[in-house]
Amino acid sequence: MTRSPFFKFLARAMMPILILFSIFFLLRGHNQPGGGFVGGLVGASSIVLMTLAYGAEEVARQMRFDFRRVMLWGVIVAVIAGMLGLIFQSSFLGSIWFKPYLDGIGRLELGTPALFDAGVYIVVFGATVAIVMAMAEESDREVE
Amino acid sequence: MLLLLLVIIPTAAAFLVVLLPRNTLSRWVIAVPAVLFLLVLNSGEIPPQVVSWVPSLGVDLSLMMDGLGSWFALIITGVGTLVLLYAAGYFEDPAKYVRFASYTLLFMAAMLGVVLSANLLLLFVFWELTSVTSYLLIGFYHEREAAREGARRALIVTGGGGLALLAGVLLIGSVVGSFDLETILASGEQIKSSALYAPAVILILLGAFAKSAQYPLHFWLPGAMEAPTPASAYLHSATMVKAGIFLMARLYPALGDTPLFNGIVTAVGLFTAVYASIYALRQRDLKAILAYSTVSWLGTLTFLIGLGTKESIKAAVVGVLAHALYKGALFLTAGSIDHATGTRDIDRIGGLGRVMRFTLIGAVIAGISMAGIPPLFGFVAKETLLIGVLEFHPIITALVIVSAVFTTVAALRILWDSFAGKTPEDLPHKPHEVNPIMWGAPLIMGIVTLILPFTLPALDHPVSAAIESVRRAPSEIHLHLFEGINTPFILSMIAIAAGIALFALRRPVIDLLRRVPGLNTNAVYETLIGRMLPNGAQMLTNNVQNGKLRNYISIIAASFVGLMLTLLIVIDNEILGPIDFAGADVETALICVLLIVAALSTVIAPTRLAAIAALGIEGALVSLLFALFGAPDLAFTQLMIEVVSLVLFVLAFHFLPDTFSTRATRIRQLRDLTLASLVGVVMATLVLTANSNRLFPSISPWYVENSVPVGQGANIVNVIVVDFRGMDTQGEILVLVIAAMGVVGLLRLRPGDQPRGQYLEVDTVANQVDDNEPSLPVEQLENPREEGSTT
Repeated sequence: MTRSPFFKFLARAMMPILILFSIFFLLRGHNQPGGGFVGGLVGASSIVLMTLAYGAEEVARQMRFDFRRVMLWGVIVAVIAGMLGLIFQSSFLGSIWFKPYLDGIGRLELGTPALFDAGVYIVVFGATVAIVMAMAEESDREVE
Repeated sequence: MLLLLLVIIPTAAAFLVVLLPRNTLSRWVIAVPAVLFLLVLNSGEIPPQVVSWVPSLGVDLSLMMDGLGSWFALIITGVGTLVLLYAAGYFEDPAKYVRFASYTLLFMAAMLGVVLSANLLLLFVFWELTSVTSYLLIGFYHEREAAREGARRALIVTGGGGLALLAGVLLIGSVVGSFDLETILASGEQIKSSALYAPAVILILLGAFAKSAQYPLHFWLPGAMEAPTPASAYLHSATMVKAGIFLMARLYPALGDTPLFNGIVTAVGLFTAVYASIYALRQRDLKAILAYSTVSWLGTLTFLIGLGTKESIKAAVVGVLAHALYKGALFLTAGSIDHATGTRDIDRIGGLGRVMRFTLIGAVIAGISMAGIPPLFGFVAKETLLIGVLEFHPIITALVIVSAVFTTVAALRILWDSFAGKTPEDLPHKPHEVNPIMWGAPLIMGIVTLILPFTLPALDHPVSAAIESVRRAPSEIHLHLFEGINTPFILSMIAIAAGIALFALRRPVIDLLRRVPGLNTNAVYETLIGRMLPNGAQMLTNNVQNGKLRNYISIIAASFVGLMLTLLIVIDNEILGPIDFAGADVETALICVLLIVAALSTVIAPTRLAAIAALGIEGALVSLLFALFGAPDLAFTQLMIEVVSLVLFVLAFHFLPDTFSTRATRIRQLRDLTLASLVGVVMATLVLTANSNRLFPSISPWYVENSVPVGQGANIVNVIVVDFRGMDTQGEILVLVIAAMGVVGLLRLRPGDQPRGQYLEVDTVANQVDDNEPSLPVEQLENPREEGSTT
């Protein structure tokens, strides 16, 4: 199957933009529209575009890591965020905030809800890509 | 502390013995039950000790040792010691012995838990544990089909009884308001006057009868004889089957002394006692004879509790010990005979007394005790039994004597037909004496049976204590070996004489019995559980889960419509409140019109690609609507979901023909249309109803107020997702991961290609399937060519 070079170029160009955009969504989520879920979807869409342009096997080879594992790491990150709450707040997922003031930059807001959101981001990213790539692998095989 | 140790020590030992190297040293595990036996022997009654466990459910880890519990605990640990000793000779392979010892110790812990529990729910938990550990022991030789079947049957029957027991326990708990045993036993009047009394009694008795193998639930016990013989000796004669007896005795103060309880228990027990004692004679397998005679004795114990007088409870208490000793010894003897000759068929063996002299001694003592011949402990038990029943209707006495006569015949038959006469030539092994451990263990039981009648005063106190915990009244009793020539003694002699006479005529009697229909309920079980249940399940699975997505969605939609319609009709809501169009403007109206158009186009689209596109438009319009109503998060997420699902649809429909099949019949199209419209109507009604009925104050203002101060975030949606309702999100991402793994896993089971895993049988059928049928392999296994289309 021949794949459009233009589409390939577009997908390649879009990928870093989409991933940066998705992280931006994740980070601004707590105060403005965004968050881990939608961020994960945007991030996944970059890989989905690549998959459509290059085919699942090519992408899998280039990526060098397995998205089925990525999503499990997301669960682990989310559970760690919850466990921190359990240890320091004696309630699972209880929130802890740490807000140091950095000179010249501004206030850095770190908290377990943000970490938890990062876990959600990773899970959504990994699960979406895993499903789409599995389907795409099947339909590529069908074509060959 | 001692009580907890009694349960913890065998459990810990069970795990330890598996972890330590398995060699002949493993046999020292016998020390564990022996120590427990001494601990129980040396401790008096211990009041309940409570450790809080699940306070919200009223379950406490509370144990106690009263007269009844201590009596049973002595039997459990004492017989357990001898059985583990015997097993050390029975299993030559240390690995097998370790496995057996481990299961047996676990069982022992569970059984001790049952008799020591001071909380009814805790008792139930231990009760179920005995069923589970017994399953492991019956299925010990798991490579044998019959052992697996016997284990499964025992688990289904006793486990099913356990469910009934749980229901009964919960009913009692709801009447009394506590599961504490002392409280329950003290509120007998309250329970008996409650409307829930009758169902509670029937459910609890069902559990007890299933466990103690009462007719018609007795059939699992002979099937359980597939267990290694030491396990049969321990579980199916000395301990587990007595759990039902124990439960009835334990709950007697709370449930007993009513016509309902005593009537059922007496009738079932009497029938079982007589039926099984006669049925035992039909059997050829030594262990089956012993199993049926055990069922018969369990029936006797049951009706003794049903009679409920001081004398009858005394007979039951003494009977439990007498039976554990002689039946345990006989079971072990049967194991030795099996070991020495390779068969347990009583019609094939004979003349073993000449080679197995030491085994013979133990067996004879036990057999004479079983036959109730003086001066053995079995005779004492039979005397107390006759004293216990004599004050009731003569029919009961007559039935007891019939059962005693047949028990005597069975005992003599086991002794005579295995040990006397000529040694047959065609046995699988050449008979030989078994090792000293194997003849030693039953011999010890025999010696105890022999000594006990002469040390009866030592038993007076524990037996009185046990009777007291059942009757809750001072019950000072004395046991006597010989009380003079009185009615029970004469009846006892008549029974022995009749037994010997019948034994002399056994051939024609056995032949006759084998020709009479057996009234066995095993066939009912076979039909119900063995055939109808799996067939029904298969049928249901084939129909409901046939691998066609279309059917699944139809079922889900139909269930939704059905449930929601019921809800809307049953709950008296104001269905439609005033609909407020004030917020509506031109943009909203336009989007709604477009939504309808997009929905219709999806349905009537001629090709799949067009349908997918229309569906995408539909989704985009919905996100637009969200955006218009001030939910940018929702709108954006919805849009992203639409994009990803569009890609998935395109990839999935790759396997399908471009155009929709027209093979769908009119009727089915009409059905689908109706269902789809109903879902829409019900959903719309639901939304309108929810909008016009507010049952609780809205929680939204709370979120608005607390988002920044508590959640430290200005985006309320995000604060809810990651903080306020973080637990929900945690669950959702887990579901997402599971779903993704499911998709990846299912796609690996590809039909029509080289299998990656071991799904060869899937692959072979897959070749016959239409190419345009994208479906799960399950379907191809079940019905390869049903309905070729996909709409």
